[in-house]
Amino acid sequence: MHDGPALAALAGLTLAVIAWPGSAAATAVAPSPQQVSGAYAAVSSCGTLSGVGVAWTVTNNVVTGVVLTSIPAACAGGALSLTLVGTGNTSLATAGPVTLSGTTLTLSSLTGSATATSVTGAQLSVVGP
Amino acid sequence: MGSHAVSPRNRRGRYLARLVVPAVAGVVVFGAVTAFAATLSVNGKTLGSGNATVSSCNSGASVTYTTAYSATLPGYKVATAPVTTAAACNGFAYKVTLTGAANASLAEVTGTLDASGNASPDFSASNISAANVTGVSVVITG
Repeated sequence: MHDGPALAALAGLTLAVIAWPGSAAATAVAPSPQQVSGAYAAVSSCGTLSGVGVAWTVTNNVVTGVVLTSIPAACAGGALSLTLVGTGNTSLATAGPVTLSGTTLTLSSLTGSATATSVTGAQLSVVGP
Repeated sequence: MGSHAVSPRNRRGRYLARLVVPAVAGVVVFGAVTAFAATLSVNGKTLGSGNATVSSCNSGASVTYTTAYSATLPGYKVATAPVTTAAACNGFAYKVTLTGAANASLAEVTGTLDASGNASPDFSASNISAANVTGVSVVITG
């Protein structure tokens, strides 16, 4: 007759004990789902540009055009940029980017003014294809 | 009955003991685990564990390059490495890493993708020779 209240109290105690660890775990860990993507891609070269032939046309001692030859065929479709440099590797004139369609390219539109006697080298860059 | 006779009060006591002992054991075990977890920390940040579904906003990302001449190198350096993903990735954080020989990191730029899921991380300050770049890695989180 007196077992009812005691069992009810016991049941309450048991539930409290069982629930407590679960509650503790829930508060200790709160995952915050995030979307994540990661990838690596190799960047290959379409060929060596050190073998590209560079010649230029001069008008009144100013370079007005550049002709490139022996461009690697694999670079077709890539965007070529050129910079004529002088003493101290300073930039004198630039051209491009121009999309390559073959192994030769004539650049007739230069930005900047490079006197023929001041040009000491040409730097090339091809992005793509 | 003899010595096996148990009064109703004693019967209730034994019944309570059978139930309470496992319950107390549970408190000790879980209490110990909780105390242990509370002591975990890394660099002042609490450490926990849990499960969460990790999904992707896009199956891939496209990276192109722009170059600029650098008298310091001298030669062409990587100016920017525009990243194109999906609009679903808009507002997500990105990290682009250019790597070179032996997969060594050359430079890394972080930022947030725009409304179209694109970005144009600027590597100019790193002065990375375009000729030295052999790989690129992209991570997007959000």
